[in-house]
Parts: sequence; structure tokens; C-alpha cells
Amino acid sequence: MKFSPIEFRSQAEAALRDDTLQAALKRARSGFVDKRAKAVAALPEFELLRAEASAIRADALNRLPTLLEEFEAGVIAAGGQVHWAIDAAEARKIVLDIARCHESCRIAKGKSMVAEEIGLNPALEDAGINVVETDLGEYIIQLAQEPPSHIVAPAIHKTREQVAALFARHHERAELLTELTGIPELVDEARRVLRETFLSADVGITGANFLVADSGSTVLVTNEGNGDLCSTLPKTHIVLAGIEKVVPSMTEVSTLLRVLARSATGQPLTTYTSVFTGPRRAGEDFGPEEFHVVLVDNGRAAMLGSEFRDMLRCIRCGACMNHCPVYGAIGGHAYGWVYPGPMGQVLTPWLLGPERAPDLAHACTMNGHCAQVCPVGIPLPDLIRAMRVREHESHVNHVAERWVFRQWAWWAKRPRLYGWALRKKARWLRRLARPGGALRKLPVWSGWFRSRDLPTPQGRTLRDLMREKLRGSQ
Amino acid sequence: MGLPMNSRDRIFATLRAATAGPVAMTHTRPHLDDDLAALFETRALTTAATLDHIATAAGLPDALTSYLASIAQAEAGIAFAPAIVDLFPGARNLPIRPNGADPVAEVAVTGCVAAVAETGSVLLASSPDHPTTLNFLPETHVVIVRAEQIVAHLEDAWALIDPMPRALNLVTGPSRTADIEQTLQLGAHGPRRLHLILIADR
Ligand code: SF4
Repeated sequence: MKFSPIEFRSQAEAALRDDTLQAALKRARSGFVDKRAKAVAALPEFELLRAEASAIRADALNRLPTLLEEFEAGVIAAGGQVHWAIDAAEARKIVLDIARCHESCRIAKGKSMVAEEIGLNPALEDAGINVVETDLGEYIIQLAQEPPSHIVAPAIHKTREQVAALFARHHERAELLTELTGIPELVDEARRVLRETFLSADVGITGANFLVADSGSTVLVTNEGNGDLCSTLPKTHIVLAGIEKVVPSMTEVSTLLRVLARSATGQPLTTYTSVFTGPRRAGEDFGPEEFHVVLVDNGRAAMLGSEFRDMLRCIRCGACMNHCPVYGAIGGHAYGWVYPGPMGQVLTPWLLGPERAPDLAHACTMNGHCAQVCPVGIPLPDLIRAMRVREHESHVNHVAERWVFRQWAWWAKRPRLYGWALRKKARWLRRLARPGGALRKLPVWSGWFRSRDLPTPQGRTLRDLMREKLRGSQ
Repeated sequence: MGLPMNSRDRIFATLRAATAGPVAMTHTRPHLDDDLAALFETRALTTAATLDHIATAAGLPDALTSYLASIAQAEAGIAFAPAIVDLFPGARNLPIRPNGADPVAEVAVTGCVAAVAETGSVLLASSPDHPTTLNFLPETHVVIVRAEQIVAHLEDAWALIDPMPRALNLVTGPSRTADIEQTLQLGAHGPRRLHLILIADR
């Protein structure tokens, strides 16, 4: 299945009509939201830690070059290698070159959003390299040939029946379809098949949640343990990370860990928090012989110098999408690329260019819930609004929309006229709707009404009410 | 201008143009109850780990035998980390090699470098005496924790580590996934069971 941010409108409509997806979204939404709320309530210092986590990320971004140099020196001192990729193409080439010089044919891969961002798997497959996703969710969507629909739970849109059907087909055992009825059996089947992958892989690729400047370490959190097997068994371990991921030391990592899992899944800490520093040491029988870190820019350095700088604080917890009413209604695929929900509404147009994602910034009600839960205090609604301005200025939005804005601006600049027109319009709308009911249609606005209605104006306008209130308070 | 800039130089040039001053900040550690051993136990149990108390290290072989019997693994092959194998005199130590070993151990027994009360986690550092494979390949992982190894916060645990080993694993409960229908299932890729044996005395 192919999705694209340029097709946002049609993908969103299709998602609203997909009953299976709607059931999955409903389950996921309450699950994530309730679990986070419980975890936050259980830690009295949470809001303080959240403020400190924001400061840690903002501070690290302020001195990114220094921290990256320190990190690079640390990796090299530990016997590892650091590679710099200015864009997706260079990042793919670096990974391909490392994989090729090992004559490797098998790669075990852990979850990495950067790998999705740079389109790594298709590039490896085109080069004849066998790459297997080992995070259960990623494995499921790899079999289904779909992109992830959530950054933390990539296969959140799949039911157990769909997973059983995928396993039966790809593991070439038709009987699995009837045998694998429960979730424990499905997890065991994946464990059995993927164990072979871990044991036979020549190269392991993982992402990184944090890079630690003072020791040259990379930090990875997982619940399954797949990232650890990817980084322990193969002869070569490649870590892919965005250049923004670096923090000074494990002290800062501690604070970030305290807010990350609570925001993501409601756990105090993920099951495995692993810190990798260089290749295997003298006397060790296990661990990779080669350790590579590929640091990917791909638009991040430019973002640092832009009004979207704060977006680089993101620690990819997924809380913003879990609390977003638009994501909750349409799921991740509709956004058309690797980063869904509010964070994606900023990242996708930035990384791909506004012309390839003209509608994303508009899929927002400005309710602000995402910013309230973001563990690193990213002002997502402000950034989404700034993205709208950027799109308006680069003329990628719809002609009709531009026309509406121009009309509105004309009226808004003439307050008296505006007030008069608004009162007229409210009266007119009230006459169109049944008493007490909501409007279902209006001429010209059929598209808007396809999935919404409009509560009937009840008489006085907001301006009237405010005027009364101000008078009353005098 | 001299040589054309490589990607690293170009990235740094763009980054340097966007640097800014330091941000003022504080560092808070969550408040914890004073009884760290009790807190460690409570928190470890909420991660679905199991826990056993013994008085001295001499009780280890019996504690291990009875634990394995309780999970119907009395006959399972065991791999001991070299660091702690001497605590199990006479035990048959199987390899846990990824390839070529037969039989392969289904149970691993290791020590730890610290236990964190805040999170109920154990901290494991890779070394020739403690291969990382023991933490992830077996079905059952038994970790020996001495009471004096329990520290309060994550920061206290990191402070014990210098220099950084190849792999430092902070393990908080057995492996799990909720990737299918948001339903929690233990034993995704790592151990299905994490059992902690807490030694009160040295
Ligand atoms: S923007 Fe904030 S809430 Fe969203 S994924 Fe990033 S860190 Fe989490």
C-alpha cells in the first residue's frame, strides 16, 4: 500500500470509512491516553521533570556543534566509526557501503524512524540485501508492505486476524491461519522465526534514542529486546541517528528517560535501556567487531536556524499523536509519511518541502492538547500555525482557500462592517437550520460538511457577548 | 576558499550559524521512600519480575534449584556468567553460544553491577565475565542482587560505571510487546521470565 502526504485529503476520507481501522484507533486511543495519565499521576515531580527535560533539549540544541564533536571523539576513542550524512541519499549510501564491504546478505534491523525517513529498506532490497525488521510491529508491517502508522506502535491498525493471515502467508504454513488464534501464539511464532534472523544476520541496524556526548555512547530503549539482539549477535552494528539526538551526559539521559516512557506507553521505564559504546572489547567473545554511527542531517541543521528550531527537541514519544483528535479520527497512514500526527505536521512539510505536503498543517483544530502533553514542551500548535503561514507565503495552498482568506481579511480589517455582517450572517444561518438543530449543508461548502455539521448560531455573536461582559465588569 | 567542503564540514557550518547561549536549569530526582530495599522489591514486582530472598550467598544453589522447579524447568540447561559461576559449586555450566552449541542453555544466571530502587531495574555491564548474550538469549534470566548493590536513582547507578563497557543494559522486567492489538504479552524476543535472587548479607 502506498501513501503520500500530497494525498492527505483522500487518505483521510478513506480512513474515516475504514471500520477495522476505526475500531483499532478507538482501542489505541483510550489505551495510550489512560496509561499516560496514570503514570503521570503516580509521579508527583512529573511536571517539574517535564520542564527540566525541555530545558535539557533546548540547551543541547544551543550547543549542538560542541556536543557532536565531543560525541564523535568519544565513539572514535572507543574504537567505533562516525559517518556524516547530509541528506537521505548520502545516508543510504553510507549504510549500503558498510553492508557491501562485508559481503553481507542478511541484516537484522531494529526500529528506527530515521531509517524510515531516509527510505533505507527499499534501497537495501534494491541492492539485493535481505533486511528483516525485528521489532514485532515493524515486522508485521514489513510483511504487509505498509509504512508504520504510529511511531511507537507501528502496527496499531492491524487486528490479530490480519496478523495471523500475514504470518500464514509469509512463513509459508497455511495451517497457521487456524492455529494462531491468540496473541500469545502470534508473539511466539514471531519469536521463533525472528530468532533465526538474529542468529544468522551479518549486520545489525538500530536507531538511537539519545547520543551521549561525554562517553560517545548511543542509548536505545526497547520493550522487546530485539534492539539488543541486533546489536549483540551480528559482526557489525550500525546505529542510525539524527544529529539532534545528542545530550551532554547520562545525567541528562536520566531525566529524559523519566519522561519518555511515561509519555509514550505509560511505563515508568521501558524494559530495556541499553547503552552501547564502541565494538567488542579485548577478551570478549560477543558483541560486534565493528561499530558504526551514521549521523543524519537531512534538513535538521537548516531547521535549527529556522523558526521551527524547537521541533528538534522531539524525543519521539508519540504522546502528541495519542492525544490528537485528528490523529484519533484518521490514524497514521492518512498523513502519508513516516511522521504522523502533530509532530509530523511540522516535520513532514519541513523535510519534504511544503509543496509535497500542502494540507498537513491544516489538519489541526488548534486545541493545544499535544503541547500540553509533549514531554519536552514543544509548542506544536504555534509551529503548525507557523507552517500554515509558510505555506501561504510559498503559495502551495489551494486557490479557493487563498480566496477565502483574502475575503476574510478585507472584512476583518473593517471592524464595524465586520460586526454588522456577522450579526446578519448569524441570523441567516439560524433561519436555515431547524430550531435547536445543527446545519447539515450550505451552498458551496459541501466539502466541509461531508464529515462535519455546524451548530446553529444561538443569536448573539461573540463580539456582543464580550461587549456585555466588559460593560458588566466595569 | 580551499578544498570543497565535505558533508561533515557543511553540517557543522550550518549548525555553527545557529548556536545560542546555555539554558539555565535544575536537576531533580524523584523523591523516594527511605527503605530502598523494600522499594526496589515493590517496583521490581510491578515490572512482572519475580523475586526471592536469601540470607547469604551459600543459599544460592538451593534457591536456584527450587525456583527452576517452581517454573517446571528443573531439567533445563543453565549457563552461568563466569563472574558468578563459583557461587554454584559443582553446577554443570552449559554454553549459550548463538551457533553451534548443543545443547544450548535455556536459563542464564548472572550477577549485576547495581540495582535501582527508583525503577526496580538491574544494571548489567558486558565484560568477558558477563557476556551480553546471557541477558537476551535465554527463556529465563536469573539475576543475583546483593542488598548493598541497591542504589536509589538512575544517576547513582551510572555513577558506578567507569569506564563505559561495550554494552550497559538496564533491565526492567522480562521482555514484552504490546504491538498486537495493544495487548501486553511477555517474552517477545528477550527472556520470558526475569527472576531476582536478593542476598541480604555479603
Ligand atoms: S513532539 Fe513531543 S509529544 Fe510529539 S513525539 Fe515529539 S516529544 Fe513526543
